[in-house]
Parts: sequence; C-alpha cells; structure tokens
Amino acid sequence: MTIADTSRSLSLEAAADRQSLDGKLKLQADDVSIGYFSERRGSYFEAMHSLSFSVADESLVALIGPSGCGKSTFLRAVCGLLPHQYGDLRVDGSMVSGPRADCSLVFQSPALLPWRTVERNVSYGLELRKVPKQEIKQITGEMLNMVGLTKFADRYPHQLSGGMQQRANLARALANQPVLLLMDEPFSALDPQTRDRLGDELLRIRELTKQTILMVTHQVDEAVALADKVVVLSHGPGSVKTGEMDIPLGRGRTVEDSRHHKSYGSLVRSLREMLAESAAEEDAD
Amino acid sequence: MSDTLHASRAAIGGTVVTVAARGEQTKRVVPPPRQGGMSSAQLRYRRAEPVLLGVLCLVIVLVAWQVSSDAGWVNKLFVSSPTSVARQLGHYVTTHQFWLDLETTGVTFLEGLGLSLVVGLILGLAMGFSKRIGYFFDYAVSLSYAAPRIALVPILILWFGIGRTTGVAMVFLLAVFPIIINTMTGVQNVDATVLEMARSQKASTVQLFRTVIIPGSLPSVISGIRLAIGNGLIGVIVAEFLAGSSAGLGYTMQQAAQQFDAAQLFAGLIVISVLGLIATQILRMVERHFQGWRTS
Repeated sequence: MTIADTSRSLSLEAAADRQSLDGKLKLQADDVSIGYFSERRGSYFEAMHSLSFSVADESLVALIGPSGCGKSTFLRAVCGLLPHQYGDLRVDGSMVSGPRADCSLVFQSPALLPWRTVERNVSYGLELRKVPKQEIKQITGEMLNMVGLTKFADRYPHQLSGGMQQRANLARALANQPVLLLMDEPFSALDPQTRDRLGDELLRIRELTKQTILMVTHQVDEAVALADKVVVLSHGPGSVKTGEMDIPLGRGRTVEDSRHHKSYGSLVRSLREMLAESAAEEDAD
Repeated sequence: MSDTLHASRAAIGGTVVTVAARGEQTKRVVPPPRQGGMSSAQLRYRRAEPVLLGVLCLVIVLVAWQVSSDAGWVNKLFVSSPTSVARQLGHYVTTHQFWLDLETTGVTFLEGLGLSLVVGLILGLAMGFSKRIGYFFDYAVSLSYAAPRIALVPILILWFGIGRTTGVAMVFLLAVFPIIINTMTGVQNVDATVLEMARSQKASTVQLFRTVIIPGSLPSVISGIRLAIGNGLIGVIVAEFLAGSSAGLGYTMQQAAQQFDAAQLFAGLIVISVLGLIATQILRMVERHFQGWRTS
C-alpha cells in the first residue's frame, strides 16, 4: 500500500465520519455480528455474521431474507434490546449501547396493551418518558389523526380490526418522533388488501414526516413496492449479506404505482434470484 | 289483513306465505318469528332454568334430610335436621359467643391472608420476572406445595402454642403457595412481545411492573387469591379445631361436637361458608374493577 493510498483511505474515513456527524446516515452497520446464548439449544447462537450496510437520511430500506435469518434479531440490536458482539452499530452517528429513545420499533404483532385505550397506547412511550401532559395530548392527537384512528381513540384494542391495531402500533412508534423507525414485518399478519392499504399509508406518512425507516420483511414484492433500497440476507444461522439493490421507482409513489412500473418485474425477479442463490449456497454447505 | 298475516307468521314461520294484496295472490318469503316460536312464559322459564334446577337439587336434599330425620330413619342426635339447624343458627347469631367467634376467626384469617398476599405477591413477581430467582426458589416452593401442609399443625402448636398465632401460621402456609405459583405463572405468561415493546420504549423496571407485568398477570393473580381464600378458610378452621383457646368458629364447632350438638356444628358450617362466599364476592368486585376493559 502506497502512502497515497493510505492518505486516501484516511480521508475517506474522515469523510464517512463527517457524514455521520452531518446526520446523513441514520444507521451505519459496520461488520456487525450478533449472537446470544440460546436457552432452547443450550449453546451460543450466532444469528448474524459481519453485516455492513447503511440507511441514508429520509430513506426507506428493506431488509429481506429467509425466515430465521436473523433479520428481527438485527432490528432488536439496532434499538438496543440485544447487544451486538462485534463491529460498529451507529444510529444517527452515535454508538448503540442499550435501549434508546430515538429508535422506535413497530412490532409484527400489534403489541398493544389490552387494558389501555388506543389513545393511551399511542401515548405510552411519551408517558414513560414523563413528557408534559399537554404535549402528550397534542402529539397523540396528531398521530391518531395521521393514521386515521381519531374516531377510535377511546376504544380498546380488542375492539379494533387487525389493520387498525397495526395503525395504532405505528402511531405509537411515530409518537416518539424517532430518528429511525424500525419495522419488523409489520404487515405480515394482515390480509392482502389491508396490507396494500397500510403500505400506501406508510409511504404517505413517510413523505409527510420525512421519517427514515428500516423495515424487515420476507416478502420480495413488498420490499420492492415500498423501499428505496433492499438489503438481502442469506440463510441463518450466522447469516451474511448477499447483496443490496437500489429500487429507483421514485418517491411519493403508491404500492399500485410500483406494481405498474416497467422495472418492477425485473427488480422483483433479480431480488428473488439473489435470495435463491443464497439458499442454494446454504444447501451446498 | 295484517292480523291474518301475523297469525299465519306465528302459525307457519319461515316459509312462503300466500298473501292477498290488492286483490292479487302474491308469494312472499316471511322471516321466522323473532322468539323462535316460544311464548314469553317459555322464554322466562328458559332464562330462569339454571337457577331453578340448582335450587331444586338443594330443596330435594333438605327435604330428604328433614323427612329422614323426622321419620327417625337416621339418628337425630348425629344428623340433626334442617329446621333445628335453622333454629340453632337463629339463636347462635344473637349470642355474644357468635360475635367473639366471628371476630377471632375473621381476624386470624385476614392476618394470615394478608401475610400470604405480601409474601406471595412479592415472591411470585420476583420468581416470574427473574429467571435466576425463579430457579433459586423453584424446588423449595414445589416441594412445600406438594407436601400436605395441614400435617404441620402439630409442629405449629409446638412452636406457637394454643391460640391465634398457630391459626395465622396455618392460614399463611395454606394460602401463600397458590398466590406464589399463580403470580409467578401470570408474570411468565405476560405477552413477550408486549414486554419487549415496553423495553424498547425505555420503560424502567418499576415502569415495566406498573404498566405491563402487574396488569398483565392480574387475572392469574386473582385466581390464585381465590384459591388462597378457600385454602385459608380450611387452615383457620382446622387450626381452631386443634389449637383454639376460647373462641373461633372452629373452636365452637369442636366444642359442639364434643357435646353431640349436631345442629350447632351445621350452624357453624353455614357461617363459615357464608364467610367464604363474602370473601369471594369481594374479590369478584375487585376483579371487575380492574377488568372493566374486557367487557367494554
């Protein structure tokens, strides 16, 4: 390595640092490995091996991979619920080292508190952080309005449909005004029509709030319809990144727009091939 | 016309009825009658049936008891009869001894139950929340729960002597385990995703307990307390049988048994049952207060 090379790589590093300070990258994963002691197996289990990718400000990145590949585990590491063993994990430029308020997780199941009304579910995080009452009321009202649940504010979760529960789940996460919104297969338990409607809703809200989103899914078409960039992971355990792909279908689109875009089909196909490749490698092992 | 239509609805119901309207014959599908063809007297009976049949069983038992006692098929000295039990109960509740018994048994029971609630809830919450604490107490609790704790009365008498302390200890020993075990199970069964959600929202441990674990485990805790009430009543009565000093429902029943006063025995039994019912009813009210969201 020549001196020129070294200095160039140094200046690149400096550039990367500046970028993170500017808040251009909301998430930087650099060589991240995640594992935990699995009580079921009675041994250490490596879920994710040496994963590197980033999420740019105001972008929506989808993480896809076969089930059990550690996608959800990765999300939990990002929001600090699980420790990562190796590598650098930065949210908004700062290292992740425990649960943090600037990341909100939208769960696969609505995870609502059944004894709280919709409104008090949405305000839950704010209440925990002892935000002044007046402010809670105002933010919660805005969020309920945004997801179209204003009329259902006083209902209990069991009185809502699955789609409405998931809207409440989303509103609760958004109420924290997070730097990074993490979504764990948020639409997988819904019927196709509701899924599309909520997908559009998500895209609309994202245009409205400029929210940066990292979403985990195992549905290739959902990833293409919603995301700006897709990161593909291989089979677990110890899954690695197989590749990533930009989705140049334009901002402010709807799910239906994506489906009718001329490159939609080829994008879905190449992602499927990428997934199949990683599966084939796994079989060969 | 409408009268005849109604009549035919009632008579046939749910079938095609021919109606003469504006002089022509038209066919119309008529929905079946609302009450499923039942008269209102029948409906009223069907609604009351669960209570009526239940009461009927009790009445049969009481009548059989009374008749066999009056006819001398059984020895009145040992089995008494419903009317003498009622008379004895009427007399008993006017005596000073009754209020003394009620107070002694009630206070012993409440002290024992209160102690079991404090210990049981704290231990149960801790064991359910922390795997390590759970592992630590697991065998000790399981073994003690499996043991017939009523057999401990003699040793308790040795330790605490004749009197209320033995009663409190017995109530505690019988009531604490269902509370521990149900609380622990309740905490362990709190929806894992909801817990994770609360953690991701940066809930502190205290907030986690207050907003998720305690409300989430409440149904299980309440059924534990229900069991504890039943067990505790057994505990206080048995302790009074064996270690009662001068008052207490169990003590008075024991005295009555020694004097072949079967009516007094049954009267005591009824008072204890009523106490149990009242305690369970209070618990049901507490439960309803906290579980209002379920029915709304």
